Amino acid sequence: MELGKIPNDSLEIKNKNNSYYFIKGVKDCIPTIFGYISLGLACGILSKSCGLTVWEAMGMSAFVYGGSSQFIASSMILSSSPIPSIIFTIFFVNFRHLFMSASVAPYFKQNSVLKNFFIGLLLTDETFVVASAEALRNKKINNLWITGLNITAYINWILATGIGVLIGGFIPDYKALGLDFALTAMFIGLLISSVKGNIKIRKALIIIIVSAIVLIVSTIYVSTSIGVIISAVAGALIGVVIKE
Amino acid sequence: MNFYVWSVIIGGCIVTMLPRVLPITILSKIKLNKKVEEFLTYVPISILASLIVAELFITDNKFFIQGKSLELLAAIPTIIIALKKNNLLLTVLTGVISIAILRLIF
Repeated sequence: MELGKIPNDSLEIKNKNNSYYFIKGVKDCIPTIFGYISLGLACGILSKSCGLTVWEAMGMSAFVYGGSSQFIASSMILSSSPIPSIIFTIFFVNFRHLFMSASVAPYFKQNSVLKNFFIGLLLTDETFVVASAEALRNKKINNLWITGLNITAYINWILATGIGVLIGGFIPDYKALGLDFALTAMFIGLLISSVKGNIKIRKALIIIIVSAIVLIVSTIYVSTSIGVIISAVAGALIGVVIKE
Repeated sequence: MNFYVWSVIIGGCIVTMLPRVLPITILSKIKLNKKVEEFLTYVPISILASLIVAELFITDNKFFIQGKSLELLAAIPTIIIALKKNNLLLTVLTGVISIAILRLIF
């Protein structure tokens, strides 16, 4: 089976046991790994330069688990900002997860609250977009599949941060390897695969263009992380308003 | 043990947990309005579009019309592969290799 490609053979899937779904979730996480390595290393290097120990950096990755909010928090720690203002900033930077969590909620109706709690706990930009592409394709998300996806991403992130702190000083220039572009490339791939065959091209283009314009305009007034929230809401609203 | 840093970590843990966990635990238990469900199905597309624009055109909270030129060039083969092949890993590798080659040349 080609990695990163989801087979459409539902008969085949029906006969698979639990470990099949878990392992498939792990495999479907592989395309995200390059982005995590690059960001995690960068996060580790930055944490170190902000005076965090390896345990503090990995602890932040394990407990906060959010790339851009950790970058900002680390630099605010360096400048000795007050604790409440750092926590408030983290909250705002990560607030977009509210819409992601809401967006996947309909696929987990049959689950107990506790199960959904643990699925939501490990939600990130990357796992969300992989999971929603899966949801658009199969009209459902398997619990063990998303657990495999989530845990793989989580472990990757913590390990990459730790390695970043430890070897940060020795890495010549990880940007030369192009790893920092992995995240953008993955977003492009996922955007195209979520549009393909699921929604009318014209409608998708309008949603994309509106989101882009609203984001660009909002950067005049607010930070990018808030702009992303505003533009995502605006784009999805336009999708509801316009006809097919 | 640095009290200041760990207070930030624990506080950050709580405030990042809430937006992640509350919608999925609550909204999966209530019946949503059709329009709301439709809105939620478009969220991945609008969020992805915003994140891509942010990565390609925004530096330090400022929009640059010319974008990051090498990244924009590397986006072209990435988009072509994404359109032609339904393989996320291949798309990511195409992007990474394209940008590495472009940075090597320029």
